[in-house]
Amino acid sequence: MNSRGTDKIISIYWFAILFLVAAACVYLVYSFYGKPYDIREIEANFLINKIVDCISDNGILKLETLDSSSFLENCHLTFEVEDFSGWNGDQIYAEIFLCEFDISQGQGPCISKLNLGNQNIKSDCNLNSGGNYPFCLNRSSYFIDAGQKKHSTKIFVGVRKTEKND
Amino acid sequence: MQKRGNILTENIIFIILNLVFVVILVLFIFSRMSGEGVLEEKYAKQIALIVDGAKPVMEIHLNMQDAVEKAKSNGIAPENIASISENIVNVKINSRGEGYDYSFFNNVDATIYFDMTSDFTYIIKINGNKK
Repeated sequence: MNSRGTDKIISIYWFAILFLVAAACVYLVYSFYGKPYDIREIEANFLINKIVDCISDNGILKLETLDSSSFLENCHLTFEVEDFSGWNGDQIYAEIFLCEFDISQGQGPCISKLNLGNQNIKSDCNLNSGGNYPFCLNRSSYFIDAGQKKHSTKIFVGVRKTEKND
Repeated sequence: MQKRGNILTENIIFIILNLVFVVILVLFIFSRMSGEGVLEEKYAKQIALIVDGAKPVMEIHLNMQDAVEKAKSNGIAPENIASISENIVNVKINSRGEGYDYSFFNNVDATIYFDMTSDFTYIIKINGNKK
């Protein structure tokens, strides 16, 4: 009798463990597959590459592209996005800074040459990057212009799209 | 003898219940892994990234075997799985719902079509920059 009672207790204990394991598996599967793939880092890198390709030609900075009022059209870019969760072409931000550059003194002062897209993304980037916040990326590049003058550019890109990436 | 018979029955029921439990758990995990929503999102984002990184006159071949098999089982023709409209990629594997949309920022004239000469391949063609 005593042995059978112990067996029953072990069975209940065994099922309790099974349920715990199952609950842990379900939680892990949901947390892994329930989360969207976050591709904003790759998007931000592609966007910076595209901007760098557009403002330079074989390492020669094309200063006139930075003064253009139709930068997006000239560089074959569009910040239009799908109709989702109230998005309205406001999910991407890009800013290009042009800086003085000297080999002996390094990078000098920068001026913001172009702001493209939703500027609110930049203030969110000051708080955090990735996750619930926009993914933000900064990259410096070095060029000479047609007159052999040295320049560096700082390109800042922020991609929001949090609802589909986090 | 009676006691022995009871123990055997209890053990068999216990083992069967355990097996049922494990099978249900494994089926659940596999159904989530190859879920239609996951595949739609994966391919929509993959195609959007391919277009973002591509340059005019490139032609990219993408194997979408798992999506094509799933779509066929849901009654969707392979040529209707992926489409590009303006700068938005749509992938639809389930006959219910609108599929999954994702936008790309590269302002190019891109087309996507199912390669009829293969069983599972889609071709993404970057025809040129948009005017």
